[in-house]
Order: sequence, then C-alpha cells, then structure tokens
Amino acid sequence: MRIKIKFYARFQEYFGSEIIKEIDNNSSDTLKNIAKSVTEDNPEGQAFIFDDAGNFYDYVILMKNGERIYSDNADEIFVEDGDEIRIFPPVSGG
Amino acid sequence: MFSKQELDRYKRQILSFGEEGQKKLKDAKIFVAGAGGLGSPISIYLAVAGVGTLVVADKDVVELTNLNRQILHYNRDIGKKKTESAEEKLNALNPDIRVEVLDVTIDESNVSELVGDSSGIVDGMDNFPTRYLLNDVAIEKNIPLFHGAIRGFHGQATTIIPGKTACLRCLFPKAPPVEVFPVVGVTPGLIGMVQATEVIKYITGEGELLKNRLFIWDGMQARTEEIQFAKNPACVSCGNLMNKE
Repeated sequence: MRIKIKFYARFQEYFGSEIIKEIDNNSSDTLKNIAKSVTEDNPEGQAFIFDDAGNFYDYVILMKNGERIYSDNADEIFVEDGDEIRIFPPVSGG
Repeated sequence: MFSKQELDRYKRQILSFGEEGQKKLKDAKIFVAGAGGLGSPISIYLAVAGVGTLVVADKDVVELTNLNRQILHYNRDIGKKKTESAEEKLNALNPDIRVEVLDVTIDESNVSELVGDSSGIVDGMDNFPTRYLLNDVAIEKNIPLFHGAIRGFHGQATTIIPGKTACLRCLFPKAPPVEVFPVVGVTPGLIGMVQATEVIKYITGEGELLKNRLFIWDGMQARTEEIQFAKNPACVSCGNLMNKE
C-alpha cells in the first residue's frame, strides 16, 4: 500500500514537504509507527516530533485525510492504502 | 454621519459594503496585541479601512533586527517605543480614526483591563502563553479572537468566535517549544492580511469567516491548505462554555 505523509513548518526542514511510503500490502500499521519509520533516518528532526518515551509530543498536530487525530490516539489509528497523513507543529512567531 | 473627507477616503470600499458597512467599521474598537511583524500590517490595514478605534499594545522598543518585517517602524525609529512609532504612522495614514496605544506587556493581571470594551482582539503575539491569555479573555468577554502566527515562510490563521467555534486551546492544547524563530517579512505580511480581512468581514458582516478552519500557508511550496477542527469538550479554556449550552 501507498501512504503520503506531509510535513509543515519546522518539520519540513528535516523531512522535506512530502514523503511517499510504500508498505507491504499484507501489513497494516498505526499512524504512530508509520510516522516513526519515515522519520527515523533523521534523529535530530525526529526528536522534535517524538519524546524520549517514543510518543508524539503533545503539541504535534496530526491529521489523517483532513481529519484531526489527537496524538494520544495515534497508537490506535491504523492507516490504509491511499491515506494522507499530515504532521505539523503550530507555528508561534508573530 | 460621515464627513466629505471620510466619504472620499472610503469611496472605493463603500462600493463593496456600503455606508452601512463603513459605519460599522467606524463604530468598532479593535484591540491589536503587538506592533511587530503581524501587528504592523494588521494595524496599518485596519487603520486605512477606517476601524474607528484601534488600540495597539506593545512594550518593546524598535530595534534594527525588527526592520525586515515590522513595517510600521522605520530606520529613524530605532530606539523609540514601538507604541510611539505606531501611533505616529497610524495617525499619519488616517487622521479620521482614533489610535490608542498601550506601552505595556500583556500579562494575566492586566489583559482583561487592557482589552476593555473592545469589540475584537487581533493576535499579533509571538508566543503561545500570551495567546492563551488573549483566548481566555475573548471567551470571558464573548468577543472574537483573530489568530495568526508565523515561522519562516510558514503561517497559520483562524477566527475564534466564543461559543460558536472551537477556541485556540481546542485547536492547540499545548504550546510548541519556545525558539528564536526565523521570519521573512512577507510571511507576517501575508498572514496579517488574512487576519485583517477576517476583522473587516466580521465587523461588516460580509462573507464567510475562518470558523473552525485553520488556514495554513506554506510559502516554501506556494501552497495553501485548510484544516477543519472542532470544539474539544474537555478544553480547559472553553469546555465550561460548552457544558452550559
């Protein structure tokens, strides 16, 4: 299956604006695991998304197909072929 | 109701929303929190649009490093209070409005008093703790909060109407980490314009507001996105309001 992951603001500096992830069709995975696997090549950037315990920081905003996913639930949300995930930090400057 | 000068000044926008809309702008009092990157374009455009009373709060002094984006302030203003610089420019742009400036740091103890009887709050802040204070006061006074924030070439904006939309804390329950953020002046220019547009639409009653919608600008990719969001019943800021409904 094929999943599109889009990054914004500071996260874009580490991961680019978009990653297409190909996953074996027989497997299914959670939003959290997918996000971890696509960011693992860049530990510095990953450290802004996941805390030491491996959970999303509570300020990280997650969307799946345009719908808000609260980071606490990212363990239970499964992604499917064609899904689009967006991961972004709120920007805070003014 | 309007002087000849005012009718001429606003002639081209009266074509859009009529004298009735212009009167609503004249009667409005808008609190602009900050006279920096966002506050500059916001207050400039609200001033020329004829918002009757503009209250601009900022505690800082103009520095050279501000001038790549804070277009209310000129090179000659370095060392001046931002409020003094803002008052001079806004009065020069439009002598037909009233400009009030507050040379203070917005904090928990004074925010309600500073906002006073304003009919709306525009967020030109550079940090989330103060934004949460503005959010709480908007809820307390039942007035809108026009949120905007930027970083580098990225920005976001939304319009919060207490009781009707999710609040800032529903959308962003936790503040992102504090950092010295990069910023290119065009980004607060663009986001500030979105906020000022929302203010004018809200006051005149025109169009559709950014209600429960986060407008996202990715200047790097030259793309806009929109994210729908909803009230959080467990929100510490507005959850009580929902339970009362």
